[in-house]
Amino acid sequence: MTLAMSAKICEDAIEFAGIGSAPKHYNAVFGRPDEEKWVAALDKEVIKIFGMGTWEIIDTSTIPESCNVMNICFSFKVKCDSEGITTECRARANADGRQQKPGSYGETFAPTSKFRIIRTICAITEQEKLTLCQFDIKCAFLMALFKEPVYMNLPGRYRLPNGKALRCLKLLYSLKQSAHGFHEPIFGWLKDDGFKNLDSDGEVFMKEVKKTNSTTSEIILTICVDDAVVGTNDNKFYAEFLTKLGKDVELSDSGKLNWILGCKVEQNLKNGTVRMSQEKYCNNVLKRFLSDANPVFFNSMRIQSASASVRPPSAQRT
Amino acid sequence: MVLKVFTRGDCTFAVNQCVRFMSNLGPTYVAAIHRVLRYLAGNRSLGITYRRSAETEGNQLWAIADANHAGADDRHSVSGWAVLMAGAMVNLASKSQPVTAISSTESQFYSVSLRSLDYGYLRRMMDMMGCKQRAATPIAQD
Repeated sequence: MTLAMSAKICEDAIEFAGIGSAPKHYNAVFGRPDEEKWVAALDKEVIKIFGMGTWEIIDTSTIPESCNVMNICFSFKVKCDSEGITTECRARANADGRQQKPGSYGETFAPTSKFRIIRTICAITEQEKLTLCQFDIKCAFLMALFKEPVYMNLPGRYRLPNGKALRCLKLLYSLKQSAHGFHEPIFGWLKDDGFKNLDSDGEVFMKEVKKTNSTTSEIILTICVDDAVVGTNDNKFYAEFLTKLGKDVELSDSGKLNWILGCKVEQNLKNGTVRMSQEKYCNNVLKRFLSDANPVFFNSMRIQSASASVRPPSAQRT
Repeated sequence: MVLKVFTRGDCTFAVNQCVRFMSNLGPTYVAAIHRVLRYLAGNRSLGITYRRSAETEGNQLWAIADANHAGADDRHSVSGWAVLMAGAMVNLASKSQPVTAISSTESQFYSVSLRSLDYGYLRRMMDMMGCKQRAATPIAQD
């Protein structure tokens, strides 16, 4: 390993992080050779957010003294297609959560499911003969309840005239209470619908309904920010649940679980296997950091013989 | 690399060790990361496969635990464990032991004890999910 090699890894890491391709902050947009594109992206985002009714313009005199007026930060991202050609420049408005004073917001706790829970569910569904499904919740943060008032102002060219400020009617990204504000209504909804929250892990929900022919329909569900992984043994029951939830929350039903958090999941109901792999992610990492890797192969025969010998010890129970 | 905690238990430990030094990488660790990447390049498609097994084995959880007596840089013992179900890993972790073990046997026992803490959590979760654990949970220890 040479110094040149480590320098290359650093360079790749910088490129990977997007530094050097997109502006880092609002003021960095101006004076760049591609200024026009980014300004257009900014305009688009601001118009979109106003269009969704996220903000209303109010007089600063109506703001209580205990609240401060926060700034909006913009984050910038270059969207590329699979060949790495820039397709779109995108700006996103974030609240500057650091400017929120403690006390101006309430609860911020918002659990998300751990990987091991997703793995456990996959393992259980296999034994219990359940089907894995997924759905995701669209515009997650915008459905959130708003308890504490938040006031904002826009930077630079969008700055409002003196004496005016924005009041948030919906949650924005990066506010401290955003995730909590999202998780509370959805968890409340599930509990009202008869879901049981597991004692050992607050992020897993399950619902069991006894049917007339003494079988049980069940749904096991876990939510990872806005993606939900579901195991169910009754597809009709699950479809009813989705329609019911869909009335209150904007959903997109992705059907069978095949892609969760960058991990590919394949369920084969006939053979009774679930396979999870991150091959694509692995390829991406290698492409970015070490495209000319000299691969080290692990002997697959050894893996097979190892997995054959991996058995629970039997008849040693006390 | 962070996502390696999901399906690639085989390189979790190596990645974790390297990540500790990410803020100021020395040549040793760059070399180590390079080796992890080379390993990944050769084994891109490895993943976890859960298989349906005979009903008797059912949802039986079981675990493997091991310990490395005074093996870490700071002379702590490191214990590692994996919980398996349906023929594949469900949970996996390693931890530097908080106590001083004076022999490898002792450190092995500590690792089993650490392991069983984690176990209670999974067992309870399984019970509530409707997959009752019928028998005691075996822990294999070498």
